[in-house]
Amino acid sequence: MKIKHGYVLRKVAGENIVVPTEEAALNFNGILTLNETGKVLWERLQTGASKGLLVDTLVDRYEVDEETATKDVADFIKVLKGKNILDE
Amino acid sequence: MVYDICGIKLRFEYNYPDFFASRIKGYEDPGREPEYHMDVHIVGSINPPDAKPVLCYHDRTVMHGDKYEYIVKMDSAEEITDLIRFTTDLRRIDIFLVQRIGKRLPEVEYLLSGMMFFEIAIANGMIPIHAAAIEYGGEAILFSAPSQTGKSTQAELWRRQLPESRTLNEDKPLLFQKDGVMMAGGTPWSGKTPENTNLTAPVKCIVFLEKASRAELVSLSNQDKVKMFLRNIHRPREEGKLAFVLKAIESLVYNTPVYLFKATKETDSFTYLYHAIYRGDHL
Repeated sequence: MKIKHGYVLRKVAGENIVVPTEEAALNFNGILTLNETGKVLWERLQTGASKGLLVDTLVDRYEVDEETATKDVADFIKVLKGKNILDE
Repeated sequence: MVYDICGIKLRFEYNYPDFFASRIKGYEDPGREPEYHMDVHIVGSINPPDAKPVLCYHDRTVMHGDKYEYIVKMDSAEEITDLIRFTTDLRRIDIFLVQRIGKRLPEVEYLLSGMMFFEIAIANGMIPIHAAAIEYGGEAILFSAPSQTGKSTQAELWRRQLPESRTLNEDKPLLFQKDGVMMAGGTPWSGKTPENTNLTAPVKCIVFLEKASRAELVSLSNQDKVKMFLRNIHRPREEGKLAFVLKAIESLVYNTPVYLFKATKETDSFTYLYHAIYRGDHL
């Protein structure tokens, strides 16, 4: 899975904000705000990552159990898919 | 005619006084050397430009040619109804409108010239914000919200209660930094109303509005402020320009008082907010 072209992640006033640019702005005119976990997952997905890799990333970095990490990753992916900003 | 709009020296030739007669005179500055040129031409027909389509949005297509960029609108018969031709640096802009648009020509001229002026403003480090801005006591207060939320209603309440106040712009004032101070300025493109003044003033505060039955001021987290600005500021699609706008939003969040005001249409709304801004009540 990979984030579609045109979405940029920026830190604005301490907040992680995803804003669409170019053609992506036609697909999605809103913004996303990410917490630190979301930011880590987003950065992984910018270069492409499997669900397994995302889960491993959370387990390694935040010392959460695999079940919790799997649920967090699934929730995150659901949001991105709902906004059509993720390529399979 | 050359106009000085928030320091932008623009030579602009329009065709229809319907919108501009009451809006633009205050910005005339005939002695100035213009930095930007914008002309509107009414023509019988428009040929497709020799350029490559790069982006389609809504009913318009952005095209890039060797010398110019274009924004083209076609009707259902795929005939061009308007075309904007401009240099990449926006120094030279020509807007072509076909005669058969008919009664809507004045409105389309006003809307498209405004759209391109705001592009010039962004290129000059300014940010158009969807707001009604008034000047009172040498400072600007901005009421910002999506359409139909009551920006003009609040501005009108303030004007009525404080007759010495002036309207900078009732639809899209410009925000810009000058000597480290955030300023707001009027432009001739003020939406449906002719309410605007050729004036700039330091920003006292920015008030985002929500309709309510009882006046109430709500404090906003930085995240909420960023969201509010991104909803109400003209957001460029180009990444480079967007980066600049995000930086300006950050500066606004950190350095400018920003409130969410649940507003009514009644005078008590003015009183409540006035006391909050000038006496610190309700904060």
